[in-house]
Amino acid sequence: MSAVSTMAAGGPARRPWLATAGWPLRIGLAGILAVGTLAAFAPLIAPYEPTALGLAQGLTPPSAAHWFGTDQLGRDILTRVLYAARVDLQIGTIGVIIPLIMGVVIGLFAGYYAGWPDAILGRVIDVVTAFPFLVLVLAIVAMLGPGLRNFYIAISLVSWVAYARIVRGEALGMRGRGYILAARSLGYSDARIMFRHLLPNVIVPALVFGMSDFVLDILAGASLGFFGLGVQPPTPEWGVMIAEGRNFIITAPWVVIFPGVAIIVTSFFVSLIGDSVSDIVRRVRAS
Amino acid sequence: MRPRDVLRVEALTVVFRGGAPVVRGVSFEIAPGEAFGLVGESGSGKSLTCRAILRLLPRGATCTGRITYGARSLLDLGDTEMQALRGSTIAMIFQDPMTALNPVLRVGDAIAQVIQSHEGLGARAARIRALEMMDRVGIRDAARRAAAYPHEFSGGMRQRIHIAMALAAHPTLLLADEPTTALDVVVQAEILRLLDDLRREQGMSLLLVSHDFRVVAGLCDRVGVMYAGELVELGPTSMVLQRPEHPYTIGLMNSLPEAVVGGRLRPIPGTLPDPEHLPPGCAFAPRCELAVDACTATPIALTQTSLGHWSRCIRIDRLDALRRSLAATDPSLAVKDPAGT
Repeated sequence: MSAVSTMAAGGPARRPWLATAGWPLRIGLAGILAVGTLAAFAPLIAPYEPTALGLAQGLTPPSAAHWFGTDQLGRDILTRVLYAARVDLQIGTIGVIIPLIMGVVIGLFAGYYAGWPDAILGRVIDVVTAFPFLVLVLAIVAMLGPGLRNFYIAISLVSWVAYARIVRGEALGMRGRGYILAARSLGYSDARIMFRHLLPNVIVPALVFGMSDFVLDILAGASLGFFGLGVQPPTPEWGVMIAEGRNFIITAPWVVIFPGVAIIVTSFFVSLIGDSVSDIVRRVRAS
Repeated sequence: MRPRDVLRVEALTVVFRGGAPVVRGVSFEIAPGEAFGLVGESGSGKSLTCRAILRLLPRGATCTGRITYGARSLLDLGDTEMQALRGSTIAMIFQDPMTALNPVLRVGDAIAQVIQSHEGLGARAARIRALEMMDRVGIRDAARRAAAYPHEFSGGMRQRIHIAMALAAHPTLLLADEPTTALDVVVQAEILRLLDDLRREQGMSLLLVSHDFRVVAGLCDRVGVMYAGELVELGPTSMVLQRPEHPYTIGLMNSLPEAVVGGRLRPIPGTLPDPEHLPPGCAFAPRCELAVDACTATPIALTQTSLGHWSRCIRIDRLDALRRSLAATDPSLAVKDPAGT
């Protein structure tokens, strides 16, 4: 990050990287920080227990006592949306980090060595990308059984391919660069060249993709929750909440609206970060 | 014959998969502390010769022959042994300083890494050595500049940093592949002087590859002229400059713009032949004024014309006519030390 920002600054004078960041990046970071804080302190902030039933009669509209209303079982929706943030942020984070590490290592290996490791990876990528993302995740979870752990396994098995493809492409373009040959001429091992010289030069596009993948994972988690294959009730999760409220969408729209808004707002902040980072990268590469 | 040679290259041949050889039986040796130059036009195989020594040939290229360094046969070493040799004993600098430095590594760290990995020094000691090295290659205010990234330096400064990296672990042989070609003339002279000074200081041997006769003439004790993958002339620099023994060498000298002050630039007609369709004899014959049928009939051996001076030409007795064209030029310019010392 500091490398990127000093390059953006374009001179030997080093400003703190946040000072060089544009407003979209600041808003995105502040927003995610706020969502994260709300999630972390949910037990302190939330007015009720997330699984407490019959606090009021079911499906009461938003009021002073229940800002977001209550659901069909009389649970407080504000409380449940706050608690659900913990699960959904975890889904986004774990759903990015594991495939990111897998994809980056495999993509780096294929891109650096080219030749047959690359040919094998290419075939694997073709096969996995031939299936729609969600269908493949659904199929794997259906096979392994519902639950968050199996969901992470499925996500990791499917989406590392995207990271591997990005990193492989970048690495293939970089491996012919002079500094890689120069590093070899200095007697550095292949592993050292891959991870200390090549990796910092190819990782940024993968991180940028990770931001949009974060959103995709939350949506996938929500979709699986909707089908009953993800997080199991009564644990609050935005997708599950929407799924459970779908029958009352006309009579009690607040049941689906608030978790829906939570997904949209979180996705918006993460996308802002991703877009700004990719803008910075593009600017640096152009200069 | 020369038992104290540091590097000995014997019958080196480089072949790209499924193709004809692009380096054909090149042999030369470099003594301790000696500077040896390889000259030739682009595509003559001089860079591949250089990379073959470090076993860093491009993908698909293989080499045969013998390369001995001290008592070790480099082509027979294991990969890890070879790796340990690179950077510590034999180092290399490349043509384009714009791409030879890792864009995301601070230059001080890049130099310190070389020292750490080859000399086993701690981070602190390596950093101090790195700063000394930066200072030695002429980067002012090294302590502050060490934290900068390559893109914050000019081409000449980057090449200095690249040199500092290559020399950080005190190699005994430096391979310099067109080290100044990407730089402007003034900076070129500075870098060449720096290389020359460092070589003398560290008692290092130098293999300098260049297409520019002046660069090699100014720096090297002996020179080899390459054409179409073959050495066509080999000898002490002064002898080759004063009395070139191959028509191609004369042509190469005649096509230096600065060497023909007041005269006419005389480019060599034609282009480098395709390695797939070389005549059995002299590869230069199709472009040579002196060529006769015998030139292309059978392979021509590198023969000694005077002590230590070798040529691959059977028309040596007719070379005087060509040399006269050279006499019209100003040889002192060609011989002149590019560093101006």
